[in-house]
Amino acid sequence: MRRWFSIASLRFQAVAAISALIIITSAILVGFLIKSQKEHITDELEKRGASLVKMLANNSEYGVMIESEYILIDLMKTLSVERDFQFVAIQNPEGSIIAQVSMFGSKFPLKSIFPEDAGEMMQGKTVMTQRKKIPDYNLELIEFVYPVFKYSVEGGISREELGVVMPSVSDPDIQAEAIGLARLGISLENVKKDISRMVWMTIFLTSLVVFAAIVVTITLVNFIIKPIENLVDVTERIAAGDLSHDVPVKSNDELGRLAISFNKMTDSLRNYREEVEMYNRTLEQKIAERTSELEEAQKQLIQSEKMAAIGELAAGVAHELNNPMGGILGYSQYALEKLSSRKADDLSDDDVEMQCRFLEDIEQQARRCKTIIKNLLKFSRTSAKTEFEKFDLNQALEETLTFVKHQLDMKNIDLEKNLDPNLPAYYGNSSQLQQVFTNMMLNAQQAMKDGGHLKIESRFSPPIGEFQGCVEVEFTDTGTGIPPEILNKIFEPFYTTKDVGKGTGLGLSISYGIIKEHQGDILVKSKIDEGTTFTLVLPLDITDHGSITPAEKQEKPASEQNKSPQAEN
Amino acid sequence: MSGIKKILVVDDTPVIRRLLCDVLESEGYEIEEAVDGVEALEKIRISKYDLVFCDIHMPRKNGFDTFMAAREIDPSLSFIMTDSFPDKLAEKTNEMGAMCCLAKPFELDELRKTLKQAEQLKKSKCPTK
Repeated sequence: MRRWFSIASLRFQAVAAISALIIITSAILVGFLIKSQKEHITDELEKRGASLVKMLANNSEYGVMIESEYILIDLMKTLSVERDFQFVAIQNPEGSIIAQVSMFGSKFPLKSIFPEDAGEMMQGKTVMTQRKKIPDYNLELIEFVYPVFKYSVEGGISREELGVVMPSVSDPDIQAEAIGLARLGISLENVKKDISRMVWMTIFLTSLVVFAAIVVTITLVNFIIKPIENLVDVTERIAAGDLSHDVPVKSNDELGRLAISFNKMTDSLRNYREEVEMYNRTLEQKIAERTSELEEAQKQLIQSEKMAAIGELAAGVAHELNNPMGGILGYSQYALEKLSSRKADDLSDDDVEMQCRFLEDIEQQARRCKTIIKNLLKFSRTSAKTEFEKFDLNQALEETLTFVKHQLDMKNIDLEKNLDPNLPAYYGNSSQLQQVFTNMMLNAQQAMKDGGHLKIESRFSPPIGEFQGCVEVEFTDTGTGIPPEILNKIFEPFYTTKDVGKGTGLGLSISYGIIKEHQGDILVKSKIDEGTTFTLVLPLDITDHGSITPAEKQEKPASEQNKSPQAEN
Repeated sequence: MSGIKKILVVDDTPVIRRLLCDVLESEGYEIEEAVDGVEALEKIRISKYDLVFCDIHMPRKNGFDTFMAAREIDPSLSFIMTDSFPDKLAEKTNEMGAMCCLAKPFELDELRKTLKQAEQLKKSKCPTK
């Protein structure tokens, strides 16, 4: 519908252009027609008037000669029946009216409308016509004037003798002497009415034709435009991505052929799109496959690095386990010996007290073994990336120290722990973070070949404004330090300063990956021969679960069990 | 009778230290204890011991360093080295000339056997004493 009213539409432009052409042509045609008709009607009138006045003049010769009003009026009366007749009069050369007949009676002031000099007018040999307006009578008329001639041939032959009814004035043999002036007034009223009727009729008919032509034009244009509009519709749909429509083919003409080739084009476009979509789908599938493979590989890499760490820690762990195992073994054997050497009755209070102490020792050491094994299993478990949970970072640090402490002791490294007791529960992957801690501690240990001091610190930066708050875990060693030129390389995979076979070069890069997974960052400060500080910054806002709540205390007893034997160390 | 009367027990693990003390005390020895090599050496400088039970893996000063330093103070001092890594322990002990070694975790029988071995070695080494 909108196209019908749109000035920009082809339909409007075509109809407007053709209609304008029709209207202009018709207007010009009508103009010519009216003009020629008008001329024709006027011409007819003038011819009629001229012939009437000539006839009157010719027949009045005798009446004028004898100046007989009676004869002349009788003659004039025959004229008064003529259509549009207004008046007729005959003047003598002096200008006096010899006879007159008028539609308005004898009072009609003919004299006043004949101001011209009759004598002068009599010199003419043709019919004179002049238009006149008589406002008093609201009359517009055309006046025909012709002299009344007295014809004679040299030698005095009369007109009858000449045998000519209407002698020609221009005949050189005939002498024509003007003896009067015939004047005939014919009203233009009817002529005007005729012309006006003719004009209106022409305009009306032409308008009808124009109207019909425009209707035909619209129909024709419609007939041509409709298929184009269909084509435009479908093109617009295709442009919008809808390829499901075809252009209807209704004819074999150019438009029909255009529709056919357009449909072919749509068809191949549809096929291409399907192909592209198919490629897309398989591509997405492939990307998903590759991504999951990559994730799996990454998981395995983290796991193998963890296993490497466990391997490195194995000696320490064995040592850690052997001590309580030694206690258990020794005390149980000792107690058995003591008891088997006596009968139950012989047991003194001291003996019983001693046995109880042995058993308590055994229980305590067995529990220590349990904790170590539990921590080891927790640390070594393969964890998916998504295994985030709430946990106590301080406790995780303590658990990690269970395996690493021994390594530090062996290298004569003093350990200083400065753990913030108000650390909020952290939402993250505890096993992976423990791996990072292990990596940090072992790196520190390796940087301090001849012993040193390792400070482990945890801090809490509470949220302020936009800042969501974070926890920081800092490892400061008094080792050899990292040369500034390699400081930007230490997180690169496979970068290692260790001897071949001593390190994978993946430790720090994996740690960095794990911290990034927690939206955190690792900051390094190092000075040659003074030591290095690694700071793990772990923001608290990684998910909704990262909201700040106090660290869960329910795990505390386990950590206390963990701590108590250490306290005795 | 026995060449060994006074024993110094050096171990950083409290329970092992206490176990050794308990067992050896009940065997009739005179026992003193030290938590690491540094403390042990201080004690060796002050008192005379017949035998030292010494752990290898200890903070501050490890067992071997303690052994070397102690031998300088008292060359006749006998040592029984204890550790969790038996292969490495035996190898290193032989190398350094320490008397015996005892792998952790040890059975009480092994402890007594090693003690006996140490006594015999000490007798054969120093018959005059």
